Amino acid sequence: MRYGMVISLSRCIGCNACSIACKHENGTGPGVFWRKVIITESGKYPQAAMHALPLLCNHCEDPSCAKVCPVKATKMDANGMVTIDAKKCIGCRYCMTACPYNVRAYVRSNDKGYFDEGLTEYEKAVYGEHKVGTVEKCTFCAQRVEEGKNPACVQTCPAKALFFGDLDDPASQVAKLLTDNPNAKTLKPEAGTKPKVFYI
Amino acid sequence: MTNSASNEAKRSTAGNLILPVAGLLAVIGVACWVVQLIVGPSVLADTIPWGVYIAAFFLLAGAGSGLVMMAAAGDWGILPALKDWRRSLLIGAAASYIAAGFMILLDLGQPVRIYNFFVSPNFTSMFVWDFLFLLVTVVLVLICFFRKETSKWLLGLTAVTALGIVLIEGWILAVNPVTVWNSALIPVVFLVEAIVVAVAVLLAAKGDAFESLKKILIGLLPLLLIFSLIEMFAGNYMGASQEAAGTKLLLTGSLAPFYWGWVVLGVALPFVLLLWKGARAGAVKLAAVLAVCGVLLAKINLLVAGQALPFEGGTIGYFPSIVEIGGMLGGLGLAVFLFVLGKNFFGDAPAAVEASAETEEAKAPAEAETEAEA
Repeated sequence: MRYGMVISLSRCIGCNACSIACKHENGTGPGVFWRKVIITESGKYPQAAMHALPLLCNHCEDPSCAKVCPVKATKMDANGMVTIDAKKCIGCRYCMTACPYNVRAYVRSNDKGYFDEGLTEYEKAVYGEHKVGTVEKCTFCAQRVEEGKNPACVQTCPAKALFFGDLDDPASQVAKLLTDNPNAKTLKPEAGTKPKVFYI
Repeated sequence: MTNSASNEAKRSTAGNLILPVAGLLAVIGVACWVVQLIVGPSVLADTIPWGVYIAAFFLLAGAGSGLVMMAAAGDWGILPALKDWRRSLLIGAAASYIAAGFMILLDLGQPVRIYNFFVSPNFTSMFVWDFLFLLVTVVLVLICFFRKETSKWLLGLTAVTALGIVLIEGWILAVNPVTVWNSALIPVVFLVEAIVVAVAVLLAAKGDAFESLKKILIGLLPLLLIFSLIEMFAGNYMGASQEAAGTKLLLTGSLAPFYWGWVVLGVALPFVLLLWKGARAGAVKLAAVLAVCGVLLAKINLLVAGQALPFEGGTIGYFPSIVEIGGMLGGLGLAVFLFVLGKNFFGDAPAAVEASAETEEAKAPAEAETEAEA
């Protein structure tokens, strides 16, 4: 089993609903984004265009973050997900410098909310799960996947631009999409990390 | 009072001030660490993962390694003038390594979990290699220091492991597929910087004694600038956009004050001061201190430039927080404090040192005369 994601760039409307759904599901603090949408512009008026690139942990086949982690806090699970053991992480941030996609975040505090009046009840409930002084990132919403659900971003995307599933299962939607789109791309293939997030 | 007696008194006053000033800096550094432990890493700059703490770590670990190599060079007759400085060099190396360890403790988000290096080491990580080489080198330095009989073979082995530290730390950056870092030259630059810092520390301690070390520094300082130019030329010749962005960042972007500060204050000015024939000991010491500061600036430039150009485009700014600056100065102060303390506690061989310095001074004109006769 190898979990992976396929992202349809032609469908993505750059609304950032996935980013918000991720924050809601995982309760990340201010400034911490496990996934984001990069908006870029190209060309000049009247041929100007705007492009949206959803960016998240690529759960690489050969993850440089796991290779450099000095204490084996980052590892690849049997299902292909790259995970961080928050109880082991020493917060050296070597993985952040080694990640070619800049998708890891350092938890600097878990008691500062978005609003001046302190933490909301929801923030009080979820922020404590984020250990200060450690690094974290997208988990493909492992807690949801265990229950047979899609990651929150996939569930939420209004344009149906995100697809999640087992890349090894030929019957899965992601495997079929990759078969139908042989030109599917990964980010920074020259880094040699073999990402499991594909863009079509 | 004669002029020489007056100068001696001034030197003695300055010497007496070093220990309390360095101690105060070390206390400030520890205080910054305590603040961090209480408040959390939110007191640090939040834009760049590796900032001045890692730069100071690289500087101090490099200084320790450079000093071990100098001690070995003395024992092996490559730099005979350093033979009698063996003990001082080893104390300096141990002090630098301990201060480097302090910088790592400051940098870690979970310093208590450092025991994971022992219980769950990942041997593919260069951090583990670095940790092991540091550990082995510190142990060897202590053995070399406390052993009654000196062994040039043991010190030679220590110099090899010290060299390993410098190369591994260079590779930690060089193997990353990151603009500015991804260069095979980085470990070489780290090695030259380690020797520059070690030589500069010796000159700062005894500015007018070592003519041969002055020459080494005069040769190595421009070499660092040449390395920088080689990197920029190689990166920009084919017009790669990321490389161009890295160069722009250093030459005219947000890092320009630091880059040009390094060129002018860290390379050019010490180079001119060292070339100045009539320079007094004070000028040589100033040049040495500037060279050390220059290496620190160069390491900050390298670290930040590699992280300031993220995958998603744009540029990330960085300026260390007050706590980071205090912590970094604390680490540097700790190295000096431990060195002076160690030297006072364990003693040195001042007679031999003075004799060695005089021998070298006397030897230089004699050698020149021999060459002229030939």
